[in-house]
Amino acid sequence: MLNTRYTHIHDKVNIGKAVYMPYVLMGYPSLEGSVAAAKALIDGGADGLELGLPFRDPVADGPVIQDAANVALDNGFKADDAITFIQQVRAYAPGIPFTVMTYFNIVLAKGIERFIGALSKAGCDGILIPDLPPEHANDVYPITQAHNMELIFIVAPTTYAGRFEKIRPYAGGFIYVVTKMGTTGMKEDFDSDLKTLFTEIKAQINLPAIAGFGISTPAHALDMVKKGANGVIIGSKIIQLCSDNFKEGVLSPAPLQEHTKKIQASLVA
Amino acid sequence: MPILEELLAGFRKYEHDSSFQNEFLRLMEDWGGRPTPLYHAQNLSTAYGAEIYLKREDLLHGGAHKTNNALGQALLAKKMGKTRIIAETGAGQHGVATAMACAKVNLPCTVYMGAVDVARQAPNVQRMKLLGAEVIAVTSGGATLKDAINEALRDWIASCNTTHYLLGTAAGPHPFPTLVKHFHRMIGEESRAQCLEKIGKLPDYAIACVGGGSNAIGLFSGFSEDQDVRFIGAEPGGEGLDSNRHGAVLVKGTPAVLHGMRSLALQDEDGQIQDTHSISAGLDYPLVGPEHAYLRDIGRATYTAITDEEAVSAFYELAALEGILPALESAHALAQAKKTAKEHPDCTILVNLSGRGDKDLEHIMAYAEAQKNA
Repeated sequence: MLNTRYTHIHDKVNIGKAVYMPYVLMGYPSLEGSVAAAKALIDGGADGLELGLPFRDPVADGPVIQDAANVALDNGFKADDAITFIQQVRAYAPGIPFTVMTYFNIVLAKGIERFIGALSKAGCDGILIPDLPPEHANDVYPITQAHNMELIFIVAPTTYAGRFEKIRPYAGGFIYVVTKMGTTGMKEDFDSDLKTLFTEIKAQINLPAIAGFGISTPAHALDMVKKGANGVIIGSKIIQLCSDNFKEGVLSPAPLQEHTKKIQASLVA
Repeated sequence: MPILEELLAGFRKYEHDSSFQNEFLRLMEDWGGRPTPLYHAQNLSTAYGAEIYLKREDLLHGGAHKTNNALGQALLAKKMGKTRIIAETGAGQHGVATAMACAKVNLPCTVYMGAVDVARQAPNVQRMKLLGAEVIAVTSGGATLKDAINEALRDWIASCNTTHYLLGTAAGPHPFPTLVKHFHRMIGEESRAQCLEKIGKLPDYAIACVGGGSNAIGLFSGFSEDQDVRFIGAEPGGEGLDSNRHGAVLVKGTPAVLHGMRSLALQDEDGQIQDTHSISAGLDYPLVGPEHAYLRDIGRATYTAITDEEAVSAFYELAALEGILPALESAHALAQAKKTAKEHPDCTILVNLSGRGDKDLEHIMAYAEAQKNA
């Protein structure tokens, strides 16, 4: 068992509370803007952050995140900027878990050992690689372990019992639950048998089940928790708030803070 | 992943099922026009200084080898109980082949195509629509084949319970490269038998163009046990390897993971995949099928880059000398044959003429015009 900041969310979940871990795309709307956005989310009461690395071919994401990633990359964002980003935001929030979300090719190109080592040193607690299936997890797992980083896995409505067997030996931190089939974005109809899915996950793996994909409002968040989620992740809506509140190169933090407070309030309700 | 396991199970079930194979082969004969001829291009042979034989996949129904795989996978999807087909297409040949196959097996079909390709391959867009397919123009990224694959994968992630993704090249996640090779291996198997019958021996070289690599893997697989038959894959050299405007992945690429496979890609130091350039839309793909990367690494096949200019010259030469308009993709293989003939005079060269060039006429006229004004 590693000693990471995920204990922060585990402690909260263990006393029956739900957690909120919003998603920031590093480098969007600008490098400084994304640092400001992360700080606003922290000020609003985020229990952890998911930090996206811009990739031009993000097949698990919808158009909102893809377009934002292209903006970040067109602005000159490089993978090494993630290290600076994490150092800055870590200094601002010493205690909450940071999960980097990145497609595998970036890690491969930067060098698995070198990049994961640098992320860890900067203050990152875990890494979620949506296009790394458990069949290939061992390419990364010994390295994340050596650097005290958890490997985070996705579970979808199509994940059947046999696949939990493959995920279980590697999974740490939390389980990212894809609440419907598709990509990230703002779809509002949730699969009706989510209760069964959350029950199944909890029976299979002893980690918090955090719902992502298609959540944007306090009502969605509450609905997920009522169906059995231990918390929620919001991504595309945060991107949209960043975009709407970025004027003349400066991000206004207030709307992001307000949104975070509203989500947190809904989870307590 | 569960959908890939389901697809693999379906494929393993029908791969050796004689009624499935018989239906596929019968349709490929009567509907598709197989076997395609092996043609001794005597005028071209004289001009190039080697014995050149063309495997005439350009004569297949639809005008390219793509029909083999499209029909095979459509039949498989039907057997597996899928009720909808999606596909990606670059030049539009795979889209057309998929639309034809879906009409034949009576499944609705949606084709994702980069907006840039929609514009430069308009006749194929019309053909797909006439065959009953819905064509969706993809505007993300460079709006070419890679982006069309991204969009098809997104559709499939959400729709896999009912939908089969009919991937058109020997790339993507397992089992697709295996599946696509299986349905194209008749190119190589027929060629081998035809060579023995017509020439009385096997060729010294088997040459095919490589974008994703489907026609090349189909050709090569027929000779996999014949170590004396050397394989050459001709990649799109675009405006030259020093220009950064090319698609020569096996010549210049580095290891990458994308589209569910570990293979080679043209990418920057951060692993961001780069846009490619080729005069031929069908070769415009910044990755390549993983088996080609393997064949390269074990030294079984070599891969070369053919520039736009060399491909266009070969296009004109085949038209003038043999009365055949090749697809610009296939013209890359012909240009390589010319080089190989020069290096090894009097050798026997088998070229897979993977498609016909009717779709490229507008493009080649525009290229000629631009050269004149340059």
